[in-house]
Amino acid sequence: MSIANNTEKTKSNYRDNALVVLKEIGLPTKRTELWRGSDVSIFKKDMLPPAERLINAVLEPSLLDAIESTKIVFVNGFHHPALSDDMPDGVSFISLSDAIETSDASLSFIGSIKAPQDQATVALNAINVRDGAIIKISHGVKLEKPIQLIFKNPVTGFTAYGRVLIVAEAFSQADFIVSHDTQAGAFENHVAEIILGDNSKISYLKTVNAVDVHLGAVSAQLGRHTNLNIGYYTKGADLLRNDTIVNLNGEGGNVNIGAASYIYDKRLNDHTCIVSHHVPHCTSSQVYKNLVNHSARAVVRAKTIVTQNAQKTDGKQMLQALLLEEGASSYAKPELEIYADDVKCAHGSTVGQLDKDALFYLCSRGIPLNQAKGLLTRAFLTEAFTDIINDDLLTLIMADFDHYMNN
Amino acid sequence: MLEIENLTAQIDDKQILSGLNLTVKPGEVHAIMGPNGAGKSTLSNVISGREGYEVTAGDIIFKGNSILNIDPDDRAGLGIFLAFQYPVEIPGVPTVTFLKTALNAVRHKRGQDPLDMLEFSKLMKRKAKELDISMDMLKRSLNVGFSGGEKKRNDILQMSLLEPSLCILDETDSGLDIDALKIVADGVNLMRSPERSMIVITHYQRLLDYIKPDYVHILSKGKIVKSGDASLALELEKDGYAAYTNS
Repeated sequence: MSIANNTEKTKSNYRDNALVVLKEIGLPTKRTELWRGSDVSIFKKDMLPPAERLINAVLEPSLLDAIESTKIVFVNGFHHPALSDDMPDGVSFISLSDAIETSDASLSFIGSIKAPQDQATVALNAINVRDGAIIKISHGVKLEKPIQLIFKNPVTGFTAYGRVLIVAEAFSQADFIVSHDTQAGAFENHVAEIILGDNSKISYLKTVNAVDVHLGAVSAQLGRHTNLNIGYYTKGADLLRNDTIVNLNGEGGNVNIGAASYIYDKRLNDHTCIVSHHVPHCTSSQVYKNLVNHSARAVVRAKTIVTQNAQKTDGKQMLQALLLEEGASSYAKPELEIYADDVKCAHGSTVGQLDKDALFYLCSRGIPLNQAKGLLTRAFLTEAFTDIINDDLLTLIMADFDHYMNN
Repeated sequence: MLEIENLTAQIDDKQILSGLNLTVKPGEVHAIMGPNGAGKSTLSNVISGREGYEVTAGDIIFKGNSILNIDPDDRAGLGIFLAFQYPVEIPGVPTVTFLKTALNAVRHKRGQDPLDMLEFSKLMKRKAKELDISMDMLKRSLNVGFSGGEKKRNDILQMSLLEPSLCILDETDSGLDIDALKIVADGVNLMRSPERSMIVITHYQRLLDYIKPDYVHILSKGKIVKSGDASLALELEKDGYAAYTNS
C-alpha cells in the first residue's frame, strides 16, 4: 500500500470539497432516498455548534471498560493523551490535529474510500471535524490485545465531531472496540474509515450510547484476501443514524456485518449500509437484528451491489425485527443490485413478535414468563454477533441489554 | 395425583373438550387414544396451561388443588411435564443453557438450592448418556437442526432432569423410526416409579408395545367414550376407531 502517491490532497481541500458536496446534495429531506422511513426533522434546525477541547474531563465508565485493551480516549472528539495508553509495538498513532499541523502523509487516506452516493453525514463531519485518530498497524503485526477507542461527549449544547482512520498494512491483524457515549443534550457526528491492506484482518465493534443525536458512518475498503468483521450494538436515540459503506476491491475479500439493536421509548435507530463487490470471489454477509419496544422505530436499508466484474460473489443479507409492543415499528429495505451473472446472493427480511410457541415451551419447563422472554430476546440479538465478537464482549453487551430491557 | 372433572374447553369459541373425566393415581400409566380431532392435544395443552385455551366448565385437580389459575411455569414447578408432539426450535439458546435455566427454575419453585455448573454438568452428562445424547448436540441451539428423534430424546432428557410427578407424552411416537422409538421408550420406562404417573397420548398401538399402559382410554369428540386395560389398544388396532366415532 503506497502512502506517497497522493500527498497533494490536504485536509483543507478535503474540507472545501465537502462544502461543495454538501451544497450540491443538501441536507437530507423526506424525499432523500437514503433517508426514507427515517426522521429528518433534525436537519430543519441548526446542528448544535462544534464542541471544544476539554482538558479536565470527569468521565463516567464505559460499557466495555473491563475488557483488557490498549485504550485511546477522546473527549468531545478531541484526543485526550493523559487518559490514553501508549501504543503497542507495530502500531503508530497520530491525532488528526497533529497530522494536519505536520501535513502527515497519512492524511491522503482521509476521505479516500468512495461511497456510491455522497453522504451528508460524512460531509458535515469533514467540514467540522478538528481532531481524531489516525492509526496504522504495520506490515505483519498481529495484535494480541484489542485497541479500545473511547469517545466521550460529556458537554450538553454542542456537537462532538470525531474521526478515525485505521490503516491496516498487509498481513496485519487487529481488533478494535469503539464505544461512543454522548451526554443527553449533546450531539455526536462520527466518521470512521478502515483501509485493509492485502491479507489483513480487522474487527471493528462499535457501541453507541446516546439520547439525542448520533450521526455515524463507518467506511471500509478491502484489499486481496482480507477479512473484516463489523459489529454494532446500538439502542437508538432521538435520531441514531449509522451509515456503513464497504468496498470489496481485492479478490478473496470477506466482510461480515452484524448489528444488534434494542430500541425503546420513542427512539429511532437507522442502519443504512451499502456493500459493493467490485472484484470476483468476495463474500459479504449483513445481519441486522432489531428488538423494538414501546413506540420506537427501527430502520434498516441494506444494499449489496455486485458490479459486472464481480463474478463468483457470495452475498447475504438478513434483516429481522421483533416488535415487542403494538406501537413499535420497523422499516426494512433489503436490496440487491446485481450486474454479474455468476453470483450467489440471498436476502431476507422478517418482522414479527416473540414466538408464542417458543415462550410456552420454555414456560412449560418451569421458566417464568419474563425470564423466558429474556432468553428469547437475548438469543435474537446474539445471533447478529455470531463469529463477530468473542464471549467476553458478548457477556458485557448482553448485561447492558438486560439492564435496559428490565428498566 | 390428577383428577379431571367434567372438563369442557374451547379454543377460538370452538368447543373441543366436552365434559371429560379422568382420574390418574400415582404410579399409573394411562394411554389416551383417539382419531384426529378428538381433542387429545387440547387435553395435554389444557393440563399444562397453554395460552389460548378457555376452560368453560369443570376442573383439573392436581395433588389436591385446582390448577386452572396457575401459570404454566408454576405447573411445571408442581410437577407437570408435557413432552411435545413437535418440540419447538429456539435458535440462539444453547441447549445446555436452557436445561440449566429450566432445572434451576424448577428447583427454586420446589424450595431446593440451585445446582452450580459443575453439579449440573455431572447430572446432565449422566442423564444424556442414558438417552444416547451427545455433548455436541447439547451445545447446539435448542432443537435447531435436530432430527425428529433427537428432538424427542431431548424432550425426554428434560423430563428426566426435571423429575416431574406427572408426565404427559403427546404423540411422542410421531416422526420416530423404530430405533428412535425404542430409545425414547426405554428412557420413559426408566422413569416409571410408584410415585410418578404418566399420560401417553397416541394414535397407534405401536408405542404401547414399548410403554405398557395400565389403562387405555378412547377419546372421541372431546370426551372419553371407553376405558379398559391394555387389550383395548389391541382391539383398536384391529377394528379402528369407527365404532367409537360414529356412536
